Amino acid sequence: MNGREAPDIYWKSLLAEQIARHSRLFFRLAYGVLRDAHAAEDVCQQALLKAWQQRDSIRDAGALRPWIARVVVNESLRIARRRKTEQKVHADCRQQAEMHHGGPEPLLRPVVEEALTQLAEPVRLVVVLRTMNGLKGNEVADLLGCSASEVSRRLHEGLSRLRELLIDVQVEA
Amino acid sequence: MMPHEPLTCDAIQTALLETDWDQGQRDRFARILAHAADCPACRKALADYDRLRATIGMPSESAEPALGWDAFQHRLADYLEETAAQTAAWQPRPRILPFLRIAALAASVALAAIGWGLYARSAGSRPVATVSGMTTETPTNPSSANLRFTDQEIAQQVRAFDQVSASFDERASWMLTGEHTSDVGLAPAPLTMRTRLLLLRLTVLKNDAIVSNADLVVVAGQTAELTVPITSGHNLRYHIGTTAGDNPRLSLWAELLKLNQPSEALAAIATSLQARPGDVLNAGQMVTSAGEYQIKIAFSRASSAEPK
Repeated sequence: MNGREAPDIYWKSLLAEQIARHSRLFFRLAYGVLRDAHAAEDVCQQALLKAWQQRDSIRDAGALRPWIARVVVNESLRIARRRKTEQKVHADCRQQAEMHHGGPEPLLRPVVEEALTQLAEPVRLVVVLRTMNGLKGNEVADLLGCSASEVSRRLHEGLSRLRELLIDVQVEA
Repeated sequence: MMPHEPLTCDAIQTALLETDWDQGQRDRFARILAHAADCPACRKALADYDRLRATIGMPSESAEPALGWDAFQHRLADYLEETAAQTAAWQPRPRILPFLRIAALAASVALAAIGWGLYARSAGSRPVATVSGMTTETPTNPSSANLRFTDQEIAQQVRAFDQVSASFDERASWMLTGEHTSDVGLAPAPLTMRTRLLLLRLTVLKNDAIVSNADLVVVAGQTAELTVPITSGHNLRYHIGTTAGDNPRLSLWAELLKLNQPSEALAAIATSLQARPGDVLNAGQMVTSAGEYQIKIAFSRASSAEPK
């Protein structure tokens, strides 16, 4: 049954099942990018709303989990990017944000987040899932419905690009 | 990387990309690390990936929602329930042919505005169901006179139908407008003989209080299938057939449905009625454990503009 034919009650039960089985995964995907539990919860809720609103256009109900995962990751990156802009505008907040993110080079994180948004979506998803969320290659392949070798290829492409960017930043510094 | 694979810089840097970057992987890649110690390019690659890892690395495994997993899942489940209920109650999706979707988007905006405008204008002249969170009922006990269409309302309805029909290339066979609902039915081809319109005010009373009120304009001879929300938290699905004569007959099938279980009917009635302009017909009663629902239909008719 595709989205156009399915009644609302069908989609409601499908989404309820996604919540019961995969809400931890969705939260961790968002948290991996945002490092903020409240924001991650909000992103999951937004993804759920988007899935409901676009249920007519989701052709394969069986692909709902990767569809929601993709929305969660992209929305999380969008928020991270917006935060970066806000931090630029509000210089006073910047130091706090750096402390919040922690790590040896907190200033670099927004730069990498920006670079992530420039990657092609299939590549970006693999990089985020593997590096920010710690999913294994076979877990990412299962989630995205592609082969493990394709995951490796995309990871290679994405990390190479990020590394190039990192070198550029070092040169500029 | 296989244990006996030659240690080229390309192979090493590819392997660095593919590791899971944890300590276990580091131990397995001892040969790579030994090579990197003597190779500036690979040492640089390893340092870069370490730097990336430190920057965007994985969150703590113990990260969890602010109020715990159970509360988080309940929040999402409640949100889904709420969203789905709102959709079912307030935004019935028109059943339209796919190729008409773009036209439907434009027309549905017009229809929603028209529907609201019609009710805003007519609410002062007749009793209406007051909906607040779909739970409140207003005991109004209307008289038949209050349910009838006024001349002004008939003119407004006909004008609105003509506008909507024009948006759908004259395919509109019926139009529903109500306080919280609007819908339109489409014929597969333009209706060239649609000059006679039948107007039906569908009023539902529960224990003598109005719980639903909606107006249907249907081209004489056409059939309408529509759903109207009622304030007791249910939907009423109508199947209304009409004839094209001077004194048209109406065939009515109505089902009372649970909001969240549209496939489950709590009660239903079927009847056939002879309608004359100005009539307020008693279409029947549905008795449920929650109360008694009565359906009244005020009838009128009008002529529409000729299709262009």
